[in-house]
Amino acid sequence: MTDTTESDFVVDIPPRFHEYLDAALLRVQVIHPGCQFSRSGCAISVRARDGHSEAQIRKTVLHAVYREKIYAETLGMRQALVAAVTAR
Amino acid sequence: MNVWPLKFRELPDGSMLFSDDAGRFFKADDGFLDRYATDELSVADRSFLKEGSHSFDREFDLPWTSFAYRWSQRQSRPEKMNYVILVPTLRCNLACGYCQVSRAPDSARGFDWSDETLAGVLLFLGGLEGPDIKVEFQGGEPLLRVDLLETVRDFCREKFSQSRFVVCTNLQKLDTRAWAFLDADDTFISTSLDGDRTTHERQRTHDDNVTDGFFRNLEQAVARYPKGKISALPTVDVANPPDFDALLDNYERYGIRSVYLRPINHQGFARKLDQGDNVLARWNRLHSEFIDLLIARNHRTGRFMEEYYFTQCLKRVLRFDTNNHVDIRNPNFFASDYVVIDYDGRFYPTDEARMLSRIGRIDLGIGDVATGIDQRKVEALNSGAFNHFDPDCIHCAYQPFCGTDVVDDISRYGRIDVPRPDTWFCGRHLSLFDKAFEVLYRKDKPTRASLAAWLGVAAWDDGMAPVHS
Repeated sequence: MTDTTESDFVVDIPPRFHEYLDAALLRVQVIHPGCQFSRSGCAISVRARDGHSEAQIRKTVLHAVYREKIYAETLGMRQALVAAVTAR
Repeated sequence: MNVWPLKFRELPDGSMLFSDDAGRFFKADDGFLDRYATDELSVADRSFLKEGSHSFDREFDLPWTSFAYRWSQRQSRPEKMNYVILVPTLRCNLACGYCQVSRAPDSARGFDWSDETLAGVLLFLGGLEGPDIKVEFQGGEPLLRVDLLETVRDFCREKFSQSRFVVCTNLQKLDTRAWAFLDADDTFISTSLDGDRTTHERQRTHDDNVTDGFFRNLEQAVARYPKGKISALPTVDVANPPDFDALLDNYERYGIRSVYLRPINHQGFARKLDQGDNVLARWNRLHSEFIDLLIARNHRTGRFMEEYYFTQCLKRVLRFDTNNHVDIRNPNFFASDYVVIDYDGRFYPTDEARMLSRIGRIDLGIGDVATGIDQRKVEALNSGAFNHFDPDCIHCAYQPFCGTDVVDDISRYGRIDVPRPDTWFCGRHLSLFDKAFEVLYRKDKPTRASLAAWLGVAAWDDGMAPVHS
C-alpha cells in the first residue's frame, strides 16, 4: 500500500555549501523520487510524500551536499592520482 | 595536510562507515563527518587520518606514493588471454526448469561443434601466447561429446606449459570414457547440487531414478578423487528455497566446504519464472540469514564452511590479491583475459552474454572463430566496465571493493545508464557489503573464528576493523 503521508519542511544549508546545492538536488531527487525538492535561496524546500521521516530526508539532503562538496574539492586529487598511476 | 576523498555510508545499525579510494576504511560518528565536511577536523582527527594513511602533505611524497600504490593494487589489470569457456554442445540429458541457455534435447542435431568449428577453436587456442591456460567445458552437458573434450585437452597439453580443465557436468550419465577423462590430475569437476535430495529432484532431475543416478555418480566421484577435485554450486529459487541446514549437511557429506549460493539467473530463459515480488530484497535477506547460519554452524561443528562469493567480497575489502574474479572486479574489461566460445563457434564476452544473446534480447556476440574477436564491439562494452567515475559509485563507500556488471544491466533494463542504486547489481552488492562490514565489526567469538577461516588468517585482530572514536 502506498504511504500517502505528506509533510513540508525546509532544510537550511550553511553558506559554505551553497555552490554544491544544485548538484546535490539532482542526486536527492533520484534517491527520493516520491518527494519534491526545490531550491529557495540558501535552503532546500521539501515536500515529502514517500513515507520517509523528516529526519531521514534532512540527513539525506545534508549528506548529498557534503558528498558534492567533497567530490568537487578532491576531483583534482583523483585526476592526478589516475594520471600518475596510468602514465606510460 | 591533504585528506584523500572519503566516502561514507550510514550502515543499517546507524553507525557510519568511511572509506577512501584505495580501500582503507574505518568507522566514526556523525560528528566526525560534520567536521570533515566543514573543514574543521580536530587534532585527533588529523592524527587518526595520518596514521591510517588517508592523508598526505605533497604530491609524490611517501604517503602519496603509498596511497597510489595501494590504489593501483586494487585495480584489475588485464592479463593475457588465459581462460576460455567452451561449449562443445548445447545438448543436455536433463531438462531443468530454470535452464539458463535453452539447452537442446539429447538427441537433437546441429547443436554440437562441427569439424570446422573445432578446427577454428584449436586455431584460436593455438594463437594464444600462454604460457598457461584454463579451459572450462560448459554446455549443455559437455560429457556428451567427450571426444571433443579429449581433442581440446590433448591440444592444450601440447601447446601450453601449464593447463587446467574444468568440466561443468550434471554427473548424470558417465560411461567408461567419461570417467577416464575425469580421472586426469589436471581435470576438475564442477557440478550442480541444489541442496538436499528433495530440492535437487524438484529443481533438476524430476524423477527418483534419475536422482539416484546423479547421487550414485557423485558418491563415486567423491570416493574416487582427492579433495578439491570436485566443486558444486546450488541454484536457489528465492520463492522456494531449500532447507539450508540440509544443504550444508549434504555439501559437507560430499567433502565440499565451499558453497556458492546463486540466485536463479536472469540472463537466460529462467527470467520467465515467476519468483514473486521484491525478489532482490528477499534474496538479500535469505543470503544474510545464510551467512549467520554458517557462522553458527561453523562454531558448533568446529568445521569451517564458507559461502564462496561472500568470502570473495570479504577478501576484496581486506586484501589486495582478489582482483581477478570475473564476477567482481574493477575494471572488468571484456574479452581481455577470458572469452566464451559457443556451440556454433561464436565468441561471447561472458557466459551471461551468451545466454542473453540466445534468448534474442540483444546480440552480444563479439565475433566467431572464423573471423576473430570484434574489437569494436568489445570497446563499446568496455565503456561501462568500471565504476570509478560513475556518478553514484564515486560517492559510495563500497566502490573500491565493488565492480560492475554491464551484461546484467542490459539484461534487466535494456541499457547501462540506469542510476546505480536502481540496479539489481547495486542492490545486491550494497546488501553484501553491508553484511560484510556488519560481520567485520562484530566482536563475538563465533564470528571471529569464521572470519579468520574465510580470510585465511591465523586469528582476527581488532586493528583489522578500525574505529575512530
